[in-house]
Amino acid sequence: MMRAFALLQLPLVYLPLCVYGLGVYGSDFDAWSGRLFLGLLVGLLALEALVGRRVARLAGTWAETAVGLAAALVAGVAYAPLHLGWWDEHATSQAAGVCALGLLAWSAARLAAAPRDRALAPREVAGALVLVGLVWSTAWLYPLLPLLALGVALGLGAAVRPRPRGDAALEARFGGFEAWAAVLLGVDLFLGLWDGRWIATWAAPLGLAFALAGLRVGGRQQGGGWIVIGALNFAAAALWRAWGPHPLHVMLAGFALGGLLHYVLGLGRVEAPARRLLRAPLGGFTVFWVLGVVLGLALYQNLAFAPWRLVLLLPALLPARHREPALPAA
Amino acid sequence: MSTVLRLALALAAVAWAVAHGFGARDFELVRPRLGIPEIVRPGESIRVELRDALPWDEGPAPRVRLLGPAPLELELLELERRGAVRTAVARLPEDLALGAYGIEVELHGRRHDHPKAVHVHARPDDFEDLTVVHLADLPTFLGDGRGDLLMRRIVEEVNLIAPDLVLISGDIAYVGSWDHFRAALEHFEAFDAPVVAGIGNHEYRGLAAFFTLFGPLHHVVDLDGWRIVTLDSGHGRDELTETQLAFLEAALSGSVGAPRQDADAAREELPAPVEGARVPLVQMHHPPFWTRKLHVHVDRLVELCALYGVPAVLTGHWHGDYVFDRSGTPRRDTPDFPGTKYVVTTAAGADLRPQTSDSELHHGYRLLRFHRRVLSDYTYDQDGDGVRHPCASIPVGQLTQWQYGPRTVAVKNELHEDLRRARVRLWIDEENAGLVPDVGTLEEVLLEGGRTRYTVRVDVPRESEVQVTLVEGER
Repeated sequence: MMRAFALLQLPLVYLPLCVYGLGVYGSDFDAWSGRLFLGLLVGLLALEALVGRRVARLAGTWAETAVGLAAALVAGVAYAPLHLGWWDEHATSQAAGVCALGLLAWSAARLAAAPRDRALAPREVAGALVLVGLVWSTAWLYPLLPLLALGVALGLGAAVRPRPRGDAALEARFGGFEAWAAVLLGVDLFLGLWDGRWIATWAAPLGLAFALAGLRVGGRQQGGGWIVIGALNFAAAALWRAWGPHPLHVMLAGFALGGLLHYVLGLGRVEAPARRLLRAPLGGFTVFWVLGVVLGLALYQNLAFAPWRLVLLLPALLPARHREPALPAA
Repeated sequence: MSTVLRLALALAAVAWAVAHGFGARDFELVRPRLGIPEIVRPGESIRVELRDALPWDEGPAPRVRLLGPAPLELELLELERRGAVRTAVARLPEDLALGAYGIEVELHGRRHDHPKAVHVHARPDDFEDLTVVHLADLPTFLGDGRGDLLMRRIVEEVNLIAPDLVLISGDIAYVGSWDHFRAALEHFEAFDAPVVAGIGNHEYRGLAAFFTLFGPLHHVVDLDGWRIVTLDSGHGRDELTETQLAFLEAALSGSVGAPRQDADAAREELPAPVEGARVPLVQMHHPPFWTRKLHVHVDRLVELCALYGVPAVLTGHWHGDYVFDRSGTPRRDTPDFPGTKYVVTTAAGADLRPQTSDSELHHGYRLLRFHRRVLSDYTYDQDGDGVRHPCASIPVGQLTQWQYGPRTVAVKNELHEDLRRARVRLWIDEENAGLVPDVGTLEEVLLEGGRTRYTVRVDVPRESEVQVTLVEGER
């Protein structure tokens, strides 16, 4: 479970947290604090391109433990000024702490994405998604607490003995429809976050959405039931005219996310490991998902978009698209 | 690395991270504060809200003190906890002197305070007349001298008017610097009346400073028969979010109880004030109509205001004066029309914009008067013809006072309306509480550091000057 969490936390927790902080509490890219975040973005891409494979080779060694421990320590330092305080767009030290955690979050994800002795099982991913939900739920107490909770979760992961390397790589299954679905689900699930600055009213519904995504990942993947869920999501969002995180809406969107992740991670073929190394943790899913989160901010800032909101519901049709992938030829 | 060692290291790192991240046993004093004050009588209760650093830490009850001439510890009546938020209800003494007090809370050995958080008044229980000054879009450069002169002048004028409340509807600081926010807070401290402040769109720069110095972005402040609901219409961009709208509805239903059933009738005419209920006033930064307005939820806002009998929605943002009726039509005929008034007040000090003003351009503020709990005046007779302009606010610079001679002060009223019971202050360079004013009513004498401050209430007719001199005599 902790390996799956290390893999998923980069797109599902850390990067959306940064977008949330920069978008909701402020960003000034003319200041050093803002430039640090731009630098982080460039830095992660450069690291991935230059040393990603080398880092992946450290999987299963002391490096995983070290990254987890460091993530906990850095999260403590990064979160301290945000506790009873606020994300300050001009505070360079705050930005430095959050960016440092970003480097560790990427490292943890990169190590987790490396080939192992066996592939991820659906139940591991399900557990990881429940943990992601717990991390987000902590925002109910303090809006930026998920930052610390992320470090704590990665730190706890350091207690687990890293699995040895092997040749069971994750398979990135990502096409045009999945890209579209990732963008739209990013928008859909994170839209509610823009409506809470002093109190994170969205914390519990979002946590629930990720937990239900876990339920979906671990459940049966075929059957008309998921079509019904998709249709319900469409109907709920169409009838619920508000943009807020209506529990029914986010629950159904969480189910859809679970379906998408099941497909992206190739969980239907755990007994037949693919031989292809991911170029980045979760590859295109991360890019399009975070694009959706950012797009959510842009849309929320222009709610005149409202008449077109039904477009956002198309991921509800995702279950209809799902097919168990065929086993590779021997 | 052995499993035991790895586990020990992980637990140690996590424990350190939690301990360091949560920090010491500290707390934040959320309200009351300048901007979200408690306005009560002696013997009444105030509600104190804290955010605790450790949500699992029950700890001792907080100690609440009023900061006045001498700190005064208050008796706690109730204590409630929800997540990280603690709410305490504290009772004021029956014999507490009137005036503005700071508040200090002590918890876990740490103290936090806010100035001018509690205002103690002696209005009768059934008082039905209220005067409110409304400001928005303050001078642009507070804190570096350029805007401070104008802001001081505004404060001086408003203190002469002596309103019951000062409402400030956003655009307090423009460039996101903590210094500008601190300067604004210092200017607000100089108002005699309780200040209720909300956020505008420019506070997006330096939101952390606004949070820290002014607290939550939407809130409710009650003053007996009135309820001030402050909203954050700048969230995201020029909008009322779902949370804001739900908060508004809860605040309105909490003030007047059940809404009117007949929505169509409610749109035409406001319901009469209900006995025992509060008259709700709403302030937010963005106007709901025409241009540079709220993007969404306008219909629901208008409907709620009609159903719950909101007499006026006070806004700024346009740096000019405008008044709309509930259909979004600018009213250029009369200020007296049925239904909620959607009022846009000119900039107090920011640049003026002729394209969004329906009156002669000026920096200014708006004076609202309630008589028998009904909004009676909210515009100004701009041209002095005896008829109130449909939307104009009061220009800055028409009320001045200056002290000359050791015991004389003059007040000049260049407005086209009388100034009733203006609050005039005189300082004399001795400790002598035995003088009386030759005109007006003596309100307060305060001995302070070898000097004496006299506060006198005096009527100043329109376009006239009144001198107040302290003389020997019987009170």
